[in-house]
Amino acid sequence: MLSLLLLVGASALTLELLQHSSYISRVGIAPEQPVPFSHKHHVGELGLDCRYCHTGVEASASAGLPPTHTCMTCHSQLWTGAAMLAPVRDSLAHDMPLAWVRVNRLPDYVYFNHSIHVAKGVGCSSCHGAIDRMQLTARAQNLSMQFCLDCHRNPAMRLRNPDQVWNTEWMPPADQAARGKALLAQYHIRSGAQLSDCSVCHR
Amino acid sequence: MSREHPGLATLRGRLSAQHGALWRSLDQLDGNDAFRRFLHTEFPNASPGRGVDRRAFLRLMAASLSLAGLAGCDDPDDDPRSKEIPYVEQPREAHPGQVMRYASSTLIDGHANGVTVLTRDGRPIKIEGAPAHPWSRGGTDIAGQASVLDFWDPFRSQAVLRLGRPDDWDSLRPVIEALPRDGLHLLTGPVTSPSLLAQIRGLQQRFPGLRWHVHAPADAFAARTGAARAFGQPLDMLYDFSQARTVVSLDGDILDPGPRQVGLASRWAEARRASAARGTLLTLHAVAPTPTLTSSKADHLLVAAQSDIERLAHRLPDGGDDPWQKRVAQALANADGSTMVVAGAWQPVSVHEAVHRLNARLGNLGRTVLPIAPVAAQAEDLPALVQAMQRGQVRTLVMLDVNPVQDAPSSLGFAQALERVPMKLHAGLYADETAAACDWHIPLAHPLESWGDARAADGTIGLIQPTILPLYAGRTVPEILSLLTDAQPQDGQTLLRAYWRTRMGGNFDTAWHQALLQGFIADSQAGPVAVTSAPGGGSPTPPATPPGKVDVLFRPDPVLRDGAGANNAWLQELPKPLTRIVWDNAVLVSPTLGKELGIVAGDVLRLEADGRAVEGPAWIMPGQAARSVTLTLGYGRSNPDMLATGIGYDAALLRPVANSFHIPSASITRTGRRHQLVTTQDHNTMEGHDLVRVQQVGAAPVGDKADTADRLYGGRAASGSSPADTGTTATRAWGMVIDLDSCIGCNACVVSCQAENNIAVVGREQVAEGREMHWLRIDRYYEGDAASPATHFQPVPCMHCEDAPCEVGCPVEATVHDHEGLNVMVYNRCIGTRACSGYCPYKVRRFNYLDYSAGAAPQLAEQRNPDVTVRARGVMEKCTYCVQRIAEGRIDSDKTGNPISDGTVRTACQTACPTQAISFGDLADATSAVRAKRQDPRNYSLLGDLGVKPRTTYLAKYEPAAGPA
Repeated sequence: MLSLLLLVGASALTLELLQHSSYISRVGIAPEQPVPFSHKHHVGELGLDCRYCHTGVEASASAGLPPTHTCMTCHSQLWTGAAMLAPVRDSLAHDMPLAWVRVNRLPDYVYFNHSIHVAKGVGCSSCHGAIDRMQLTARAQNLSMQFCLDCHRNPAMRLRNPDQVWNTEWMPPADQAARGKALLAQYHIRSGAQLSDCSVCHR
Repeated sequence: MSREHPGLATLRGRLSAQHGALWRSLDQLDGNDAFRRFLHTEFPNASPGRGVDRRAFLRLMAASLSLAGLAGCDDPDDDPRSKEIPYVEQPREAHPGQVMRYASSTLIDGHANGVTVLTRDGRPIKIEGAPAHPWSRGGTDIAGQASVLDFWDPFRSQAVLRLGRPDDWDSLRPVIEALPRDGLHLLTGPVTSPSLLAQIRGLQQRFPGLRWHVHAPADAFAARTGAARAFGQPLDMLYDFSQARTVVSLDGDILDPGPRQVGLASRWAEARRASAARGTLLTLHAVAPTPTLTSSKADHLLVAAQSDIERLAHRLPDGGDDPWQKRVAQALANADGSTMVVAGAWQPVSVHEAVHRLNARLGNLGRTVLPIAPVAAQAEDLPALVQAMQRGQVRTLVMLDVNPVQDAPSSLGFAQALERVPMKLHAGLYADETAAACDWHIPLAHPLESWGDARAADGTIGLIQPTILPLYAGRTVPEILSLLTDAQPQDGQTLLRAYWRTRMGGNFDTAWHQALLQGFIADSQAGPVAVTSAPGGGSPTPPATPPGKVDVLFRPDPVLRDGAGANNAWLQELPKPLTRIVWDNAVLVSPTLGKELGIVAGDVLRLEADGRAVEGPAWIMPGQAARSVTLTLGYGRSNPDMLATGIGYDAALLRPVANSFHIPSASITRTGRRHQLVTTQDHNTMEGHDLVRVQQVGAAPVGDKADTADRLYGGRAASGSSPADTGTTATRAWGMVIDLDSCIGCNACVVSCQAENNIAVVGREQVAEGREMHWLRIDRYYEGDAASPATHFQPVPCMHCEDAPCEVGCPVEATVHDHEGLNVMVYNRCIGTRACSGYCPYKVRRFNYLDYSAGAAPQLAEQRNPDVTVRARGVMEKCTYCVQRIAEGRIDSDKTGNPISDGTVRTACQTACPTQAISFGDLADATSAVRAKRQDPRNYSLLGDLGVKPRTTYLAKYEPAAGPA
């Protein structure tokens, strides 16, 4: 009987660990992309703003990926012959879009809206991590319901000043609790209970 | 039943005795066993007794588990859905993930209704009203709402066909260029488009012998011909209800589906609300041989035979001896131009002529009845074409967007005559029955991918602009005519701009841009025409129905019309407004005739007249004239490989050519066969009383008392508060009020809801088990005697009860309240116990017994709203108050810092309604329209005494004050 209990307990524990492992959550795993695009180079080293490529982030639910044309604004002048960029040049030449592999993906019944988060002082790095240090892009958070709810129930700890939203190196200052409370009022953010209504994310 | 506690049975008996006079079906009126069994089953839609034994269960489970294991081995990165594909060059106006709106028009019988087309990422997904449009004023009809599904229909014709085999445009070109110039005939549907008309006139100049014919199975243009007799010129009639006290409908169609429905219903409802506010109701007296939406809304109804209506049309304003006629005579007595008499499109020319003369005599012309020049262009009719074909005069026949082989009366012999035509070309959305009889078939472009123009019933010129590039190789009718006339064929946009460039004043580009932006050309309504009565107007003696024979009436199907919508699954599964039948048409038989001949619903009847016959299943129709049956058009399609194939009977088999809506004498026999008709009329029956309340004008209010903000949901916000609850934003309280007086039962809201919320079509067999998925249903109640009952329509969405019983029932909290008072359904939590549905007194919850949305054609999936979850098997669903639209409004408001202003968040049903019967908004906002409606003395809660505090409430239907109207 005891061994049976142990067996059951062990399998439950294994399942639980598996559930949160990066094998399932895919945190830190960078999928192979048509072009090995480096956020580290473009954001961390060159200092491009997130919105230069992800133009929809302030207006739309989806931040959007840049059209090939955006890549070619620079790469028609720089690294014009680089083999690494051949798929980008081919895309433009043949009018065939690049097909990127999604890094962050939510279930179909979850409706995340980028625009409202950045408007209310939730910065990119809160979900996407230190993107400016990623050579290849990987998922930074497991994006589980628990992850979303942690913030929705108590947003104060993640809120930033508007000018810090795009700062990928942002760290909560020591007095974040007090600042966060002030920002809650400044942004007119609803209560944690209201923000955890099912209908906020599920439709 | 046998195990039931006797006390319970007694109680139920008492409850049902309290039902009052409302009934849904004849089964209910009888109180027969079948109905009672259905009513008292907890889950009538669960599969009965198909037990699975333990062994079978284990076998199934073993298979599922092993498959589940395999599914786990997929590499998620290989899933095509895990790809993100940006543009190569993003158009400046493209905003991925955001809704884009295009002003355009939908067509019904060639006439326009102004609409707004919503597209997402380049895909048209929804049709909404266009509030600025002078005719449709924000309303829509079922045909317009469903047209977005037609666009994505995988059955649509996708290639040029030569003798039924795929061919291409290149081989068609020389054929068209070599067409012989003499003996050319053109057959189209009704044409209202000014640019197309100009093109046809141009074609007539280029081919002087060209003869143009118009074919419209649902409209014989009797009103126009009647006007030609009464006033010496063909006219269309518009109505100004705001100037009227009384409407007398001689089997009229002012509220029935057709080109005029949206505009007329909107104006009728508006005038009725205004008149009730003044204390004198705009009364509707209706006589009809077979029930219609118009007769269903009558305050005073008379059921009479067709011949009686013809006699009555000539006798009015003098009444007869029955109370209805006396009342009408009284209402028409002082001919002060404050009345109107209307007749339906299916009435013969003689009735229309009499009605026109009557309106002239009553002083109504120019006041309540406004004559305008005909909106649809005049051309020769179909019998003239058949005559020419039979004489061998037709060398080439070009048929554009018509299907006469199927929908012309078979006695006309169109199909046989067509065989004598050497060269036959057909263009249509579908490779239909006519295409199969032609040498060439050309796929037609759908209006959602076309440039064009068309006039609304009041003459307003609406523009049609494409919302997407053509899906298939289709071309528009003007483009096809351009192939015939122009050396260099032009595309639709060039043709349309070229036509309007010379006709729009000022700077064309500015004016054109403005017109496209609003979707119509401003101030293009037809002006009133002054008329004088022509001599004549005898009273013909209508043929009486001989004893033993029956009167046969032909009507467009209330949903499919002449069959134009036959391939649309939303329309096929839409319960017909009165019979609630889906996926079928029936022979409507009066209760009297049914009793006399021993006919019950589902008996296959054979009707014969003039050597022709048709067979179809019977339906006992309350309110049908005693010795009459009604056949509906649009069914019995024979073309293979269509959704509509093999459904229903084809009324064209019996239909006469002259006076094509009526046969005064036919024989009726029972074949002895049975056919199961599927109807939803007893589905989701509520047990209770006072379901539909009626407010007599001037009498004490029938609404609930003190139903205001104090009853709004609010208690739970405090109890559920977390430490971080700062409560900086005022809580909204969403609510809906439905005006039963304005609801005409047209179903536009139901189709709109289906389009917006990705509601699955389940098919005939599933509906028969009670598993239809419509989140919003329209309950139709009868009151009184089955021979001539009053009819009530009641749309029933989720009530979003403040004390929702369903929430108590759910063991996993998959249905809970949010802070704005929505009863939300969380699909990903639902485990499918269906307890919530058992607890719901309104029966508005729908369960996915099967995976209805899976396996849809890829095109159909393109129509789906990306903001709404596509539900899987085993999940409960229901009306959400369009929570996705609320979320959009809330996010916009939060971003800008401005509160959501009243009218910003509009539900799909609300935007579709032609009569503005549905109000929606924030009840906590003291200035909102919905709050004002809720304070109307007519406001009441459905099953209010259950104490569940529904957020959706109703306004009682009006009834005229007692005494003379």
